[in-house]
Amino acid sequence: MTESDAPAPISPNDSDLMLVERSVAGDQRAFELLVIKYQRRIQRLIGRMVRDTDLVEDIAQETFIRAYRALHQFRGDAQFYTWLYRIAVNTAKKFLMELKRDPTVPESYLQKDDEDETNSPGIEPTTDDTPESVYAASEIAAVVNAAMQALPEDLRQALTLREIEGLSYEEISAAMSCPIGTVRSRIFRAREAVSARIRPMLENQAGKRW
Amino acid sequence: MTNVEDLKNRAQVSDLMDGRLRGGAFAQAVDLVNANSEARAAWHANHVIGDVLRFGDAAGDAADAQFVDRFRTRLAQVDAKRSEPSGTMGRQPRKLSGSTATADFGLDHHRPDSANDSNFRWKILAGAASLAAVAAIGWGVWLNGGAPGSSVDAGGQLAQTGAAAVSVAASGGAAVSAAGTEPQVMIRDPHLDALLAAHKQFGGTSALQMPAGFLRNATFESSSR
Repeated sequence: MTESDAPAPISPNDSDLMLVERSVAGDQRAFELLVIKYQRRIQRLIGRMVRDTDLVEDIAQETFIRAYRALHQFRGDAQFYTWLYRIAVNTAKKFLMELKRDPTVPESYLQKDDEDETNSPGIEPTTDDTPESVYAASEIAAVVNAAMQALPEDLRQALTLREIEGLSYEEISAAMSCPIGTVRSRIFRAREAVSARIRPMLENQAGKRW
Repeated sequence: MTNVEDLKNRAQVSDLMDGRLRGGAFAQAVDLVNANSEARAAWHANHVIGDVLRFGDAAGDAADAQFVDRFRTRLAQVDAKRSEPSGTMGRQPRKLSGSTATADFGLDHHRPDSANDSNFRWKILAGAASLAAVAAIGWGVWLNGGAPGSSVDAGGQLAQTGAAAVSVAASGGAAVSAAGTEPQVMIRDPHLDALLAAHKQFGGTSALQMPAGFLRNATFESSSR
């Protein structure tokens, strides 16, 4: 069933819920799609609580492990990310408490216990971030922004409304006064154009293809 | 043809990202992303684009594939560790019914061992041991209870011996007490009585300076004092 058959407006969050359902049913690979989707946000969140980059990744890994183990408890009342967010914060706090009890861990490893995602617009580089990784991240961001600027207005607007404003296709359709099929096409074409610019960079830096 | 197919696949990925697919189309797209590296790369790249647009940078970015690899490895390690102590602990994945994943959240009906289960096991063991001890004592009491001259009777007699005041016959040395109609014999060394009688000026009173019937002392108190 595609969008034309859908009886009611589809929330983008339904995709998360359906992936969760598949994961609970035993499809671990479906959960990996959620990991790919949210790992950067989770690492960003934890990076504001912990200074050590390796520790950030460890805590992020532990967060996803715990989330996967507790997935059957997710009822879908809240958004999946909200639920994941709480797990990440609790996991990070537990790590921090253990680290604070460890006298061999220097204070510099720990950062202020600030879990509010809205406080800081962008992630600050941690002490262990290599110049290469910082440069790579900023380079990708620059390329994405440049590619967005190069897009035709209707494509850029459609993708902006979708990604930044979080609007559904129906809402974008109303905002842009065009059919939902057109919205779908514009968003896809915009993604294709930007993705074509960054994918070689992602593959080169990762040293590994998916 | 391949390019057209890739394009179609990526369109499917885009729809999947935005929650536009349901039922069979959704399952097909998930299978596609799982199986096709090109589709998986598109899923990743599109989410990186979204993160950059929302947050202004691509934190994590390039190491994402390794992150997922490590997650997979760690999950397998955790699974292996959990399945070591008992084979029934882990949540068994259930087979998907074709392409229609239902909304059943699959609650785990197998209760995993709780962290303090070992304490309960010890309590059960201690309870069983206590029960066995009580049963053994009860059995011994029951066996000896009916026999004359048993240890229980002897104990009772000893207790009564202390309670019953005994008048000591100075000549015989054997003290006799009355318990009911039958006189009870107090076992006491006649030499001790003789000694106490000879030196009663020293041993007539106890250290408390008053008669203390509850004390089983060896004082010799006679009516002459």
